[in-house]
Amino acid sequence: MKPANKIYQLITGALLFFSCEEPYTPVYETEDMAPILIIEGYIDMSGNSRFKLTQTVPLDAEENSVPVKNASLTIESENNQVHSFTGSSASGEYTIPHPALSMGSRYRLKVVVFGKTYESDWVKPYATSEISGIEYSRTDTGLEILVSTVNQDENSRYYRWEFEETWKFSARYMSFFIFEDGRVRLRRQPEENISMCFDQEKSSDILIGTSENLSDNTISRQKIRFIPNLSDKLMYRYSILVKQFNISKEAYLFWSILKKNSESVGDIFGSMPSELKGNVRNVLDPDEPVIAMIEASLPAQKRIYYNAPDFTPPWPVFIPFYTGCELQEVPVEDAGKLFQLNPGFIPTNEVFKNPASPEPTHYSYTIHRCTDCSFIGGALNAPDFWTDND
Amino acid sequence: MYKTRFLWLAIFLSVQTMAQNDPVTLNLSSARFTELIRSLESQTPYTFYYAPAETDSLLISYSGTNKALNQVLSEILHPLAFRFATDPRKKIYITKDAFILTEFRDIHASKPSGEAATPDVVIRDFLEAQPEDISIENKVFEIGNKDRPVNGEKTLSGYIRSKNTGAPVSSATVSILGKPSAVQTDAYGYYSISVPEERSVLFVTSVGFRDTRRQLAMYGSGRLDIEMTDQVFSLNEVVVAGERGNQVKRMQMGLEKLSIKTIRQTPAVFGEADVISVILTLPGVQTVGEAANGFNVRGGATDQNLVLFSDATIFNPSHFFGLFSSFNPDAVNQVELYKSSIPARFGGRLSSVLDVAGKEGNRNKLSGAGGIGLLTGRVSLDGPIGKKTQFLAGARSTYSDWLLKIIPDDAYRNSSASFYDLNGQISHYVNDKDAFYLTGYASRDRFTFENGITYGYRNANVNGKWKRIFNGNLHSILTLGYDQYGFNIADRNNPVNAFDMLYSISQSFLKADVYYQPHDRHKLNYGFQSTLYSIRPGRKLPVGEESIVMAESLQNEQALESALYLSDTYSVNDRFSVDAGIRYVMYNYLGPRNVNYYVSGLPKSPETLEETVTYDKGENIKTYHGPEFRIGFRYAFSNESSVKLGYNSLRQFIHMLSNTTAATPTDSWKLSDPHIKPQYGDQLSLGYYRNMASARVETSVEVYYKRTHNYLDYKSGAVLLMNPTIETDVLGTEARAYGVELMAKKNTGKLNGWISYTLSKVQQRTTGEETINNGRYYNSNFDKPHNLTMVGNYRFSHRYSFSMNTTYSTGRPITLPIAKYDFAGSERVFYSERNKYRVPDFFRMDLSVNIEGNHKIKKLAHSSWTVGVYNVTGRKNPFSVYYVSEAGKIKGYKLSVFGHQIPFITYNFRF
Repeated sequence: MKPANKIYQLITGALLFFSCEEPYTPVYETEDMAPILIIEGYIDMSGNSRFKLTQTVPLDAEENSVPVKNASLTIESENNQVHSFTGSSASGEYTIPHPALSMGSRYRLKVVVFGKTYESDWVKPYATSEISGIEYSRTDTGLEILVSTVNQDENSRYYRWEFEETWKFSARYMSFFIFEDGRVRLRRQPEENISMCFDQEKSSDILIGTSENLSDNTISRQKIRFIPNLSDKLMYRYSILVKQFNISKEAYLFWSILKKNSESVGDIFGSMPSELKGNVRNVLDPDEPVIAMIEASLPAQKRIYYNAPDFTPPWPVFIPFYTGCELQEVPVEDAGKLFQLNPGFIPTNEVFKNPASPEPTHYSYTIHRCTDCSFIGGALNAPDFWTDND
Repeated sequence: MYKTRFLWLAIFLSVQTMAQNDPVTLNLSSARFTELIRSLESQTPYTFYYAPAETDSLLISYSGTNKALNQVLSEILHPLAFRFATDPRKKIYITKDAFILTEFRDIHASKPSGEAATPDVVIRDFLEAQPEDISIENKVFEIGNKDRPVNGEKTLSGYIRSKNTGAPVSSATVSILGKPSAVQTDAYGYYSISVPEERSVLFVTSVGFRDTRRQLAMYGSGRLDIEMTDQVFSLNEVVVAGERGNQVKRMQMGLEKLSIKTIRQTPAVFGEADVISVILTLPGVQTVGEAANGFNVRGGATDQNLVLFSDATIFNPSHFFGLFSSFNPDAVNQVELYKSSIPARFGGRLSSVLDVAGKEGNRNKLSGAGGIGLLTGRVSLDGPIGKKTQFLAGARSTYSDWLLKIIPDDAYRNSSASFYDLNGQISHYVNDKDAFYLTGYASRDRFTFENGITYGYRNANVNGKWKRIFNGNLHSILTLGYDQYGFNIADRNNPVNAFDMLYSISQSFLKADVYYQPHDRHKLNYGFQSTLYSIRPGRKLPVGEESIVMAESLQNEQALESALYLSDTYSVNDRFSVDAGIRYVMYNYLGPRNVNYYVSGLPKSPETLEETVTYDKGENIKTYHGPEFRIGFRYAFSNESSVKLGYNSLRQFIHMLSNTTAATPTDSWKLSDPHIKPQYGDQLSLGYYRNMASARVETSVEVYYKRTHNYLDYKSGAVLLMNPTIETDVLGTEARAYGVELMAKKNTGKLNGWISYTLSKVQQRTTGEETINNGRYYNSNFDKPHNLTMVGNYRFSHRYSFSMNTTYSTGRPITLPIAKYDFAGSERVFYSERNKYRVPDFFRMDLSVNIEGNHKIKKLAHSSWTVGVYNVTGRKNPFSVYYVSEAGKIKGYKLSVFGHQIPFITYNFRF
């Protein structure tokens, strides 16, 4: 319940008759124009920590952030273990190679970049609490994915989740045939598939929860994902990998401010954006803003699969990309010529119009984008972990 | 020379009454007085006598065809405060103000001696309804026993009332001619002044009334009630003349007084005369934006204003989310805003006291007033019930739904908004000594959303007062009252989630105020006040069978605030006076309640919770107490200039919880408890006041420095409603504010109004472990360094006047997004330091024309039209700035609440 927001909507509405909105471009002070360093990632207790270093860009920039390409990263422990990596990365992603770390020490991250040294606070590693269940719930508008956990450790009541979705889908028309060497033939090899794809998506919302207000340290059916009706994610088979982090209260605050600041701020009553305080600072200039919350974690993971045919009622799918797609037919004898002249046409299936003959009389065909699912970003090969067996 | 002749003529020549029906035709535009006389003498057989020194500066504008001479003369002369009289030899005498007919030879006569001495002389003064009024100013009132005169200073006291309605005239200035100090009548029209010499002239002025004087022969202390003649024409130049020169003479500094007439002539949005929007034109008063609830005085927060309506505390003084203020203009008599030296009798809020005095009922006849505007309508009725009792009842409501209906969006078309307010007052004067007053106020606002969510809030107040006058030097007022404010949110959007959420705060109070003048140089005011607060901070109830909402209820809070105060205004001599006051406040936070205690030195949070202590009903949980000082000095260099210095300290035990820039109707109030300390503030101010051009222009300069401690700010993401442990979500801050306020005010003439300029700064910083801007000072939400306001009224004629209100101010501070970045899979925005930037500057000009009905004094109803335009230049003053992501770019937009011209028309009537 956010009454203030609702009221502002209502006032804006009530005053819509009089009110008006105009583009606004403020003039910034120079110190606010300097890019800010952003560090994403966590000290992975299981080994090989990965971090991503980027910088902020102006609001009207086309891209969202720019990668930091040359950096030196070090994980230090209080008992003087040091693991470093120095090098360059076009994407800003760095991996510090190290073995599994001891839960008994505290750690920190040190980054040297642009000639400046940044250090995180010393952080205590958090033990993992298992994900006790992932379930789904159908609603009028779609499907919710809910996560539950039971934690024996009373001292870690703050949680953060990430997920990675993978699903199998197909193009509007499956292409079972291929035109090759002047003739149409059946696609025999899995490599010849163009119509069945896999797609993946990582969580982009900030998913946090706490059991602070509960008597038990239990998270029950926390909603982490919503799949709207008609989504292709539930066309055939869907999988979600949920990662659960136990985090500190400080980190919880960081994430919740980030989440809150990402929501609408500057409404009619002027809800205040809050100061985002991370735990990394420039050693020489502690006032320099750095966006980073470094934690030492050993996340719990759980993967589940859903088969679309198991759903009742069935899950209808509509992919707007395929609007306008339709099938044409060409007599078998003309097919070679047609496909030769029009490489954009792809045969999809054979058509039997003569009941007396077991031979196909026509081939159905469509344009390339309607049958090749890689056009909308699908990968033709299943990811390594994928299994079609439950 | 003329004068002498005239006097003799007047006494010894008999006068033929009503002789001047001769028709005259005039068409004068800014003509000199001599031109008027020449014209009249050429058209009539009359000869005119007048004093050139009094008339040579007058400019006359008048046009009329074939009008009776006496009508022409009264229409021209009376607004200029001139009188005329006629004798049978066709001579007309024109004089200014006092019509001196007689010498003071018979001070015991009850009738004006002019008549008594020359019974066959009938002088008709067309200004006054009854001829005996002419010379009441010339009659000598004998006070005390002539045979046993008391030496030294004597005290004169009594009521000042309106001659028309019998209503008390509050804040009238009563002075002795030739003395630099003056006293003000209180809310009941009561005054008490010391008179040093036997023969004196008492001079009374008040806004909206004609100045009057009384000749005194003081042989001892005594009482004199005075009736003042109402100013008939409400937009006349004499309207504000009554306040002339008061700021130099009065003790208080930083006190702004506005009569309801001044308020009425200032244009306001939708044409409804509005107390708070006029308050906002005064120096040192700011708001975060148009249509924002609340106002900020000298860098104070909106919850630091004590808003009193006839002694009732109004917790939310606005309707319709700030578009209108809660006060029905027909039920208001006058408004006082104390922004620096707050008298010791007031307490409980840090920054200001807005004392809105309700109108008392007409003592003579049943009368009424009302108005119809685009969005609101109001009506009020008042009059006598028997000889000793008067009543006033008023109501106002909105029919704004049509506005929502024309918004081309179903969401609003199916919404509805409503508000109303009701006023009632009964005053009963038992005898000369005792008077009783019963006042009630109720208001309600409701806004229903198309999606089934209703927001509502209401004020309900009632209080009774007993005023007793023991003698001219001592009177007391005892007040018992109850104030309540509450809001509710009703969600019926989805039956499964349907709920009602209710919040309410109430206070019962008893206060006694004693005014005692033991000596002519000392004026004491002392008394006590006790307030019992009770807050129901939140109940959430499921509604309907299907609702799965959990019923939730927060524990009530209660506290007792008690104060004793004493102040003395000591006139060391005519030039120097001191006002020293002390108020001792004690606050007890009372059970029943469970209070959490946390590990000291660590941020309060569930992790640092140490224990929860249960307190029984009435058990004292926490006590805060301390003195408050109110000290002021005034030194008058002359009758025309003075300097004042003041120091004030105040404590506030009640906090408004709000983490938005503007106040919202769902902002709740919280009592100080073991964790949330009382707010404490003090202010030092210095002012210089100077009257120019015979007090027609008042100028002032005031500077101030103010500190506030324990003002609340909020942690990130704090949830303020239904939060049982609010102490874990608040941060203590301290604020500092300073500024200089310049004001020039012209009270008389065709053009009157004021210009004020304020240069100010208000900043705050966090004081606890958890910080904003790393604990450095940052600009407060309502920090607007420059503010220039011009309010003017120009009277073309008695019937037409033109008003203008122009405001410029620096834009309010905002926290801006300054960069974007990717984090955790999404685009995010990085914000600047708190309130580092500002929205563009604010400028607005409003114009209105007031058209009065005809000016017959006696007619069924007086009516007037107000036509105007709000925001004439159509400037799109940004209220807020927000950002939207469009095609990968984040774009800023500014929202203006009143982004173009808004025309309005209002019809007002009174009878």
